Amino acid sequence: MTTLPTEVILLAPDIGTFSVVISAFQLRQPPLKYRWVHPGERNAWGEAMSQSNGKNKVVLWDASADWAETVTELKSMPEALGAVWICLIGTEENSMSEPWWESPIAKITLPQNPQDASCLVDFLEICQFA
Amino acid sequence: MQPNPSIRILDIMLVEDDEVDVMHVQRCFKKMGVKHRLHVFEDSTRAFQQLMDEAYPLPQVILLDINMPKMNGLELLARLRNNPRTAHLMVFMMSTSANQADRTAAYQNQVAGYIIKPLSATDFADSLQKLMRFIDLCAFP
Repeated sequence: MTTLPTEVILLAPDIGTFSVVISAFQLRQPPLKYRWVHPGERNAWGEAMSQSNGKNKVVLWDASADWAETVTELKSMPEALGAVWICLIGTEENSMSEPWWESPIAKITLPQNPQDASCLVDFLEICQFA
Repeated sequence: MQPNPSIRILDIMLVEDDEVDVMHVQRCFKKMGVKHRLHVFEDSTRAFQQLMDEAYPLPQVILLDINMPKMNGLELLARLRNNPRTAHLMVFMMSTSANQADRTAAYQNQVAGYIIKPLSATDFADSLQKLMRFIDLCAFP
């Protein structure tokens, strides 16, 4: 049963960290669409969430950067309700801020190889969204 | 240091009242060579009691069915989220219900994923394998 989300939102200060994941998106048929939003861009965030209303919402958040407080606030906005959050963390110790560490959302190590990125997309395929 | 997923053994709690589905999961684990420890609870009330017992080490992951007698999976999930001991637990819903209200309720209570249990054994095994690969990527406190 394939239920790929219509769009994945990549929330990060630098899209470069997602390069392996983006490659995995592009290998799917049809390629999985994505939209990059910088955590500091409130308008872009609000727009992305509003436009995703009624679609399947997935947010991949690069937690290796120090934006945890801002993202916690973004996550609590009404537009973000029902979104699936997957937190991508760096490999260094303490790379993850405390609020995210205690959150029940899935936290995975930022995929560094195509196989891990593919596992992430496989998971999105079997997921049902709100 | 991050745990090495290749040697890490997780405790996974399966809360599922359907014996056939329990058997499916157990068989798939065996067939896939999954090393994680599977703790099966066919009674959601008992699962909740166990999770509230401070002497009981918490699992890293809970696989939770929805349609169960006494306390359904969504009720159990809400109770877990309302308790500081269990609020952070990573929960994946595994249900035959594609009901929109169920999915919304699950995501509002911060599930890590909502998976429809496929009817065929082959598809079930395929979904479970994808889920386990994803769980192997996951980091835990």
